[in-house]
Amino acid sequence: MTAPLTIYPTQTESALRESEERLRLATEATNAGTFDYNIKTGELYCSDKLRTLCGFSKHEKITADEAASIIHEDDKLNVMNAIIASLDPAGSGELEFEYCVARQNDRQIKWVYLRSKVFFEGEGDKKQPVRVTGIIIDVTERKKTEQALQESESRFRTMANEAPLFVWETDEKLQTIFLNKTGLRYFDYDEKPGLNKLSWKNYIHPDDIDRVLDIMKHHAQIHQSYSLEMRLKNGLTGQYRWFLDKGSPKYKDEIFTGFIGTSLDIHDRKEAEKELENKVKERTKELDEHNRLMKKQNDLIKKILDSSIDLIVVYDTETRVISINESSLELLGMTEEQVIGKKITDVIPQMKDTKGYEDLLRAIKGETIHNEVYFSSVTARYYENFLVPLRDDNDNIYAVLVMAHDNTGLITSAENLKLKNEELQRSLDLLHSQELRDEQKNNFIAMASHELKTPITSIKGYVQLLLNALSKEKDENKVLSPLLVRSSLISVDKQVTRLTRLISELLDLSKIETGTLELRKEKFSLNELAIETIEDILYTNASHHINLYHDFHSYVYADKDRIGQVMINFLTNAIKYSPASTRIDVTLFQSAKDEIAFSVKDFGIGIDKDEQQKIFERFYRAKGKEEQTYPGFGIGLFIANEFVQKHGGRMLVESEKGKGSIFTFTLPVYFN
Amino acid sequence: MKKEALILVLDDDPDICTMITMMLKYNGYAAADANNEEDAIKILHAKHIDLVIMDMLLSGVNGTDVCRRLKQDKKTSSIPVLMFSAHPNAKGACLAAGADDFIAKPFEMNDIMAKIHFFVNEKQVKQR
Repeated sequence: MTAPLTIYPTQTESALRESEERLRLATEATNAGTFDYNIKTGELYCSDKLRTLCGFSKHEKITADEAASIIHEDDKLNVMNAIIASLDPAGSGELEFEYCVARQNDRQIKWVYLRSKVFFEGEGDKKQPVRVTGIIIDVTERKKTEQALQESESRFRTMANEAPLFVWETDEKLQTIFLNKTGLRYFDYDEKPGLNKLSWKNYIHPDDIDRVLDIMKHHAQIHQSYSLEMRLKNGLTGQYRWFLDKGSPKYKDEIFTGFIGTSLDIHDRKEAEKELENKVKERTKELDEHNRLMKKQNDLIKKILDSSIDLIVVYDTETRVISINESSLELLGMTEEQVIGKKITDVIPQMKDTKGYEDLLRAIKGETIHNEVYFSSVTARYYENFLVPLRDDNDNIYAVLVMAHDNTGLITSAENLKLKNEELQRSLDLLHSQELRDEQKNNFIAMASHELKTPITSIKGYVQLLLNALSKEKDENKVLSPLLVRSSLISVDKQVTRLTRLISELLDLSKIETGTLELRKEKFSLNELAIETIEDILYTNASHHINLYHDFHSYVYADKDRIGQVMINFLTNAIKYSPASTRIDVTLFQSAKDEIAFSVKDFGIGIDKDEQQKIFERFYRAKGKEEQTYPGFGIGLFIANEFVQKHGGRMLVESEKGKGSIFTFTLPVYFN
Repeated sequence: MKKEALILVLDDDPDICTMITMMLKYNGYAAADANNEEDAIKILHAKHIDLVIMDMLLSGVNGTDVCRRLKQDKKTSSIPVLMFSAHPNAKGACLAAGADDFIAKPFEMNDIMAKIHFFVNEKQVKQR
């Protein structure tokens, strides 16, 4: 497999083979490929690993030229030179080199590490290289890592150098004794001419120099670091840029020896700040303008509100006054300062229990309220008011606008008008009732004259008949029998009684109207009076049959004539209004404890329900064509009612149209 | 004499009826009396009546209506009607209802007898 080594002739072939085999195994175990070149024969041995590494096939023979051909073009010269140098018999023959190869098979670039040893033969001038043996290791990975590291270092260096941070140092006279590359580059200074020529003070902006020097000197004295901002001129462009300069004073044995510090380019930041500042200023100006306009607008609104005679107040949701117009302040007699921010109930305590306050609370809850007429007990005036909740963009109520228009004048005149109207209505009513009364009165007079004239007609008729009969007795045909004379006189007597009753009714009416009615009270039995009265009625009226029932006996203390009159009124009415019936029932009974009642029941025409209470009114006569044909002037029941009430009794009527009526009066029972 | 004439007196007040009846009889007339319309109609249908003397207010019926009915009924329309009343506005209403004459209450006996005499004689003249 390998060519026999002939350099150690003293070694046995087997021992050498063993040794070589160990080396081979050892190198195989590493990643190293091995080679052995016999210069004399030109024979080149390459291990399998090496062949793989260099892209050669395992079995073909490789010449030295072929081996050299894969060295990367860039490295070829250097490698060849190094190899040639190592062949110099004067040298050690050892070679260590790293270079690139382009692999034979796929031209892939690989970094390799070569370590070789040249063996020489002969001594002195005759010494010449005969054999080169060595290892080649694939270092591509390590090389790549190194390269990456180098790149990163280079980047770091570049960054450090490019970083806008100057590092500097001065002596006690503030003369620069050190400045880093960045600084030098900024000032466009070559490192070589020496720093002593760099007067940084020339590079500071003239407006900043005094300030900077003052600060530095001051901090040197007080042993403190400083930090300041200043402008430094760029050596290339002549442009000033802002720097943040920080320095710490140095001392040696308490003696100031200079500053060490850094300067950071903050120009862009500063510019950005300035720009921002300008923008802020601009914006502020805009805002100011906006505010000015707003204020103008607010002033305008306020002027409008103030010029309004209506009361306009804006409350927050806690009932505090946010805004109030002049009219409202004037009404309150307060200044804006006394009111704004205060709760309404603190400003006007008497508001608390008013509807106005309730309305405000309701409006705060979201209700829009409109009172056409609202009377304020606080101001004692009438208003038309609106309470409108004000909502923000999120629909939340933040305030309530209250507007009130004083309507007192209008309302008052409306009220006055209403009063006047009512007054007028009353006058009209009065006039109407007067007319009604006049009509009633006229009817009364008509009926009264009719009522009075009817018995007079009778009387006059009988009297003329009697007179005629007496004066013309000579005419035999014209005679009146004594019986007729008697009956005529009886009739006259009845009619005179009737007339008397009518006249006393008229008198009673007049007494009631003038309030001069007097009662002559005495104790008597109501039952006995009923009997007497019915007898009287029957004497003048034979048409009806009267039944009398004594369910209760009692004495009363009353005006006997007047109570008798009431009974006659009841009975004559019963007779008068029941022409188709002949039955009348009279009952005396106990209507309540200590009360006796006299009632007259007829089976006549009856009274309409809606007229039953009116029949006790003065001059009232039942309506209806038929009713109007009955005699009477509409004062009987009125007078009867007056009498009964004056005695502490009651008048009652029960009636059904077409079936009859029951009239009842009551009187207190008299106890001895 | 022509005193055979029969006169009907209609008044709701029986006293008045009696009084007038007495007057009529005293003056040589025959008389019948009624206190309501129903009774009056019965008499009118049963007997030959020469004259009706009646009141205007008849307790439930208005005399003017009765008069109107008498004047519309063929059987009675030719009978003269003399109405009387104490009511001040009665005369117009009675004449409008067809009454042949009117006399106010209270009246003089001579006056009412003159009117009765006139109607009875006129009728007899007509009949002749």
